[in-house]
Amino acid sequence: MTFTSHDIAFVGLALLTLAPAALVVTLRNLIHAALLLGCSFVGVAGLYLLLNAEFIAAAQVLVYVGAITVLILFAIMLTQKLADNRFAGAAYNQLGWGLFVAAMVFLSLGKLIASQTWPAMYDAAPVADTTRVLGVQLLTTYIVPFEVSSVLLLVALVAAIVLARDEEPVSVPAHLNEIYDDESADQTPTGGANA
Amino acid sequence: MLEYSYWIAILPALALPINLGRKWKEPLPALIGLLLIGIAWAWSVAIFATTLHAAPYSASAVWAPAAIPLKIGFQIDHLTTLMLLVVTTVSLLVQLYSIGYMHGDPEFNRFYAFLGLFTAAMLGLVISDNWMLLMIAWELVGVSSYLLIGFWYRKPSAMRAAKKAFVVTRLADLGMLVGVLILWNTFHTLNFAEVRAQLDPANAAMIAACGAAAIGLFIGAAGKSAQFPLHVWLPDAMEGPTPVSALIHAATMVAAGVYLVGRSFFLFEYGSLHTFHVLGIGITALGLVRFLGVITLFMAATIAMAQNDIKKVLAYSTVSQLGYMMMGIGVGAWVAGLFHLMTHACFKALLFLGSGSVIHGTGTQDMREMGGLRKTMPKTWITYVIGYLALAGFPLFAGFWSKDAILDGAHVIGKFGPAWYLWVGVGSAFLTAFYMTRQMVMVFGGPKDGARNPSLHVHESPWTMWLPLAALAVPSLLIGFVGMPSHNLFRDYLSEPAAQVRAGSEPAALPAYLSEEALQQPGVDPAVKAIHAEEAEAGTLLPGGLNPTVTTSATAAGLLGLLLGWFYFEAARKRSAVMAKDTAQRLGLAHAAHAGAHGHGDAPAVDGAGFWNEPLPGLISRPVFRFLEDKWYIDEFYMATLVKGTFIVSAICAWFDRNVIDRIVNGVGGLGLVLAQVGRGLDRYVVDGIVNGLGAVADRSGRWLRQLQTGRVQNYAVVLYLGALLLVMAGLYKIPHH
Amino acid sequence: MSGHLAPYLIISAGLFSLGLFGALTRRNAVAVLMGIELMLNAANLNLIAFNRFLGPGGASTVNGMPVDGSFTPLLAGHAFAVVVITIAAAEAAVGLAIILTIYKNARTINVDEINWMRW
Repeated sequence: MTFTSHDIAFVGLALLTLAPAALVVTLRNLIHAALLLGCSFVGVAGLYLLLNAEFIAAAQVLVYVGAITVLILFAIMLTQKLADNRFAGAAYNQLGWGLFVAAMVFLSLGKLIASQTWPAMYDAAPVADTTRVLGVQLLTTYIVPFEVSSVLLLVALVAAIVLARDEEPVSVPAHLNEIYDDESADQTPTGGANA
Repeated sequence: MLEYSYWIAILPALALPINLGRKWKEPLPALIGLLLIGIAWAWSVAIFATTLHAAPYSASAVWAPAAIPLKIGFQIDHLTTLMLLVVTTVSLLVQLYSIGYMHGDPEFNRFYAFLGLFTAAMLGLVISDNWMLLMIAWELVGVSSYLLIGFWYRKPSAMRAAKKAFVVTRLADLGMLVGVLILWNTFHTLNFAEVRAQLDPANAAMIAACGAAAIGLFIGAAGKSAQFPLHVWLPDAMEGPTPVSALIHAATMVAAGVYLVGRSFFLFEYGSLHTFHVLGIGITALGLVRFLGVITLFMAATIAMAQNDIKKVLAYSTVSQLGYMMMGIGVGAWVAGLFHLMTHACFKALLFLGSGSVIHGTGTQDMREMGGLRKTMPKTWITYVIGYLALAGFPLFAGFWSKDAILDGAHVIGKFGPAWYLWVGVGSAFLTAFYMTRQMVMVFGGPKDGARNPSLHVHESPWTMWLPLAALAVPSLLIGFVGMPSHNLFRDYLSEPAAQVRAGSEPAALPAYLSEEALQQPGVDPAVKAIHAEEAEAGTLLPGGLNPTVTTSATAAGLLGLLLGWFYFEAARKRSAVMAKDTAQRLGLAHAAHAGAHGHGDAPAVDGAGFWNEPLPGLISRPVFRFLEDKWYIDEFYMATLVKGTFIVSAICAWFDRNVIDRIVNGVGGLGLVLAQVGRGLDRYVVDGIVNGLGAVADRSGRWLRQLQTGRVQNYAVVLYLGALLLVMAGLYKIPHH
Repeated sequence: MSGHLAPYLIISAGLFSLGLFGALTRRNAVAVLMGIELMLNAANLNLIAFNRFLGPGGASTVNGMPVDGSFTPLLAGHAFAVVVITIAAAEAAVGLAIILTIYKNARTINVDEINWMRW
């Protein structure tokens, strides 16, 4: 069995993916965990490159490493007081069940993979210029999912804004006070006739 | 295009969910409403243009499939097209106007949502091709009217007015429901054209049924169109915002009753072949229509003379004009009635929107506090004058032609039956001119800073408010010419595709549902004879084809009303101003010296302005004036009879219930008690044991199982994955290896 | 080794299980979200790997090679991956907005304390 340069890169990238991922789910310090999450994403991007998916690799770096990691860091900083003593409490819930389920999932997936015979990779890259072909196909064959995801992005944008903003109170102009002032009258105590 | 025209009635309703969806910032709801009604308006105009000479279009679908299927549908004929134009035009202008009038109201979006609902319901009402859908839209119109009258629901008076309008019109709708049920029972269809095709002039039972159905429909129409004795809700409905009064309570909804009678006119005509005898009085469908119409006409005109609220005057004027329309239809001139509906929609919407502009500019509705607005609100003044002259029947203005057409019908019926309809109509034309002149003098007359309440800060309204006024002033001035008797485009338009009724010089052909023999029977209403009489008096007509008797007397009455009113009230205003000055100087009230000040509310008048509290000195005595000011005590009469009567009947029923029915029930109950004792033992020890046992099982298991719902999302996820794992395992160990 | 599909799948399975472990056990909601991101990445890796080895062209290929030279290869896996990345971005944005709202209301983002929806 000979190792090609591809194989060496593969092993390295696999380690770069899995090792930080293991730390992400175990480290107590969330800031560190988030930074390691970025490392893991970079490793996955490398694996994409090995699989001739340059565009997806670039998108991975831009979206996951660039945007989502930063977003998560922001969320941590907005919600976590590092000096908060709650932060020092237990980091896990139901650790036993979680370990069991995760391990069982891994084992059954492994068994599933091992129970099949998979074709080997063919030599030549099937598509010379995946980015161009993908671009054409996204706007022809896959136009529907493409458009749907654009709508989803819009909805998510609106949803995030709506969730994060504050309601503003309604103000009544002075000349309509006569009609709308019963409300304020209701709020003032009037002798407790209804009590 | 025609086959999709039902969308005209659906489009404006979309404003309801959109505008109620959330509290949009201010101009947006108006823009949504204007966009939707604008589309409907443009579509209506397109329909008008394309169907000018076309046969009616109609389409229907089975709603309730049965042995006798219930079908609903819509139709586009000339009457529907006309109503579509009137409703969409007025609604469009009112929605534009409301941008200014409702500015700053925190519930701006709700207002436009309800306006959209109302417009859609009204359009659905006129586009329907059957009484079923018409009745549904009719009720929707009633609901939206209720919602809009009570728009300022924090005002107790608005709340009461909304309830009153709803209850009174619902009571009337009961009559309509009965009428529709009679029609269904007689014809097994509710489609206008299908019923019309089945009418048989030789079938006496069918004639009587149709007469009863027509009377039922008219009761419904009298409720919506505020005819005596069901008119009491309309003046109270002025508690709603003024654009609502203009749209609903002047131009469209109150005209729905006139539309219904006009649309069902063939039924009224056919049903009037039969006379019902009630307590020795002969009643026909058309006879009832014109009798109540003429009473309404006269009564409301007298009441309008004694009102001091600018909108109440217009409200009673509306009731009075609706009486004209009903009387016109009742004497057989249904085209004239609908013609007056159209012209009245223009000039009364104009007057109401103008009064809204005045209210907006001065901040009060009491005419005693106004005065001199001619200078401070010039645009409102000019348009108001046009509406005033149109309403007063000034020659060549819109109201002149339509009022004349109705009075002409009253003149024709005079040859076959009672002649006094014409003279009451002429007298009411005088009253109309008189009370409108009173209003003009009180609101606009006098010197520039003549507002009798000096604390008012008068200003002209924004362009969104006076532009609709200007737009309505044009038809108020000109639209009457389409109904000029010698070249009556309006009548030709309405009757073109249908049978040629009294059109041109051709001999009047009887429609299929009438026959010469049927017309000769005793008990036929004179109006029916009048419609189908030979044209007479040719050669003695005035230019434009006007009848000399009718036109001269009506025009003379109107001009007399204007002139007398002007001299009388202008002189009175000057005298009161002089008296005010004298009084003020004597009391040393400097600020009131040139203002003829009248304090807010009912403060005792220390000056000549007290004159306006009894505005007809020397003309009618104080008790009569009180009688008019208190609206003929009709509300009090209802309070004392209907409402009090209901309470008394309720009390009697309650006594009967307690002392007779309860005794019987208790006796039966006692017997049951004995039997129950027997059953009780069985129940307690046998049945209960089983039931309680089952209940306990459910109770215990429920208590135990509910603990599974921990509220922790990760617990759920673990269970979910365990389930998924089980499925995967089952799959893995079932598939054989290769 | 890198010329076979199975190693990629195993790495993907490992990444998925690690993410699942994080999502099931971490107390902090942001950490749970991080675990979910790892699981999404594992799914993406699978999609790309399958596209490389089993596609393109699906049934029209023998051992991954086209039957004739003139076909348009479909990059279905890549297109899927683009959609998944989009969804992941949207999920992260909305999820973090929800977490911030919960934090504003409850001053905590520990998932075991957010248990108002129970019996």
